[in-house]
Amino acid sequence: MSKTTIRISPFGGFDIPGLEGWLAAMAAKGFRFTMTTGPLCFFDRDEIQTVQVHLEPIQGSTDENPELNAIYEEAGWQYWGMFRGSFYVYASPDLEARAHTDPDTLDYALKKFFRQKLVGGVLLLLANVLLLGFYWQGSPWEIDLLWLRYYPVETLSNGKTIPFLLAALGFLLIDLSYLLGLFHLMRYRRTVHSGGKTRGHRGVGWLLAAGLLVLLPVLINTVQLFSGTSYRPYDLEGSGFVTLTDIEGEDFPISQRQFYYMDYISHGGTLLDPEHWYFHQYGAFGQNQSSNDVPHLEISIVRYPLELLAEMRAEEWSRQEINNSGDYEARPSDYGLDEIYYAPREGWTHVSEITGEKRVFLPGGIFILRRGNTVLFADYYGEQDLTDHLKHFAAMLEGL
Amino acid sequence: MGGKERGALTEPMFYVLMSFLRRDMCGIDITEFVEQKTHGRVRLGPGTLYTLLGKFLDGGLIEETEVDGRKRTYRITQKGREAYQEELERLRACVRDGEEELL
Repeated sequence: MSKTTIRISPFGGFDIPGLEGWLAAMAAKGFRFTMTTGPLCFFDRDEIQTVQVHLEPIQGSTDENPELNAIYEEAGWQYWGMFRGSFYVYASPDLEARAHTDPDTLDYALKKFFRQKLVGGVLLLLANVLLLGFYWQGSPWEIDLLWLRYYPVETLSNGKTIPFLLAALGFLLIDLSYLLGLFHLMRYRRTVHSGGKTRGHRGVGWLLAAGLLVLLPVLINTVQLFSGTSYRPYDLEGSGFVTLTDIEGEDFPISQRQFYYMDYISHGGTLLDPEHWYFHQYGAFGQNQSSNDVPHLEISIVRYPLELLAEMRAEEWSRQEINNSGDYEARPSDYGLDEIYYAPREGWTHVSEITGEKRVFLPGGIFILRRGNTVLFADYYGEQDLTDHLKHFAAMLEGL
Repeated sequence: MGGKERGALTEPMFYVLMSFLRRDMCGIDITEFVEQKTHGRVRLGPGTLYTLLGKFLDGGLIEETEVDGRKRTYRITQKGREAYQEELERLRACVRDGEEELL
């Protein structure tokens, strides 16, 4: 049986009287403090002790301080461990023992500690700006909120919105905990200076713990992004993906131009960005042509953690008209697919009101297919019938 | 820390600085010195001593001379002697003023 017990401190990280009282109360229950990791405090099961606990603000380096331990031991105190790089924790069975015997000196120590934590606050602010800025999409909130209202799954699964919202909430809780900590520290210093006594403020520690818990997935997500594990492309050959060649025939010339040619499947995903695949192919086109003038195929696939989300995403896609696509027709389930939507597209001609230039757009069709928690969107421009390839699309989804 | 720009020293500050006048000292030596010198009148808590050593080091009043395991030894600097001397003068003036009033 493990002798280590873990608790979350109910008191803020700078709440000296609160933490001292709590650690002494834990010792009275037989839990001797040993160390901290984030908001977690570790205790060793020990005999029940009646002690007073003193937190000595760390000056400068956060290494162990053998000299200080020797001074404290000489005065009858026992070193228990370090509290979050902020305090050395000492305990004494003598409830009348005083670690600080000069109020002016204690005031100096608290003032210095307060300044250190103010600098820490600036670093925390910087972390706020960096992480929130990284996930900030630069769009006005009105548009995002409108999009969120009508297309919630698409908006929330774009890889940025959820991390941003979680980071904002996490930092709100952590910042609040930090600010309250600074405020309580300032009040404690004033009280000590005037010779009075103050009590701890229970609950602030939970704010920090909740904030870190909310922020943890964002941090994991960010590490995945920066470590490169979020993007895992693989070769088109052997992927089982439906290609333009499959639809147009073996002799159909495929564009080799940069941005229009993919001989790989773009694939990735992180903890907060659902696994997704993307692939497109264009027919070869001349200097005077645009990519819209030739047959092309674009495939997007997303795998959601829940089938319900995939269902909702299929429904959201089926409400979006793209380049003269007709209404989506729900077809009976087949080939192991749970949902099949197809929207045929008529070819159309667009005449510019400004230049009078006439452009002919190709016909085609759009498939929205769902298999379990995976949903596919395939947009084809060309003369062939996309529905002839439904079986291939279904096999492709099954193979993912 | 003594002098106009430093402000008056508290008793623990004064005695800690005094402890370095004759020889280099480590933390535990200082506690014993103050205890003996003041016959227990001035008590030096470990937190107070730790803070004062840090404060005096930051202020350049003392400097570290040796690290031997858990023991660090310090000596007073010229600036520290001046601070001590200024405080001594201030205390002498206080005593002089007080005695004059008694006469």
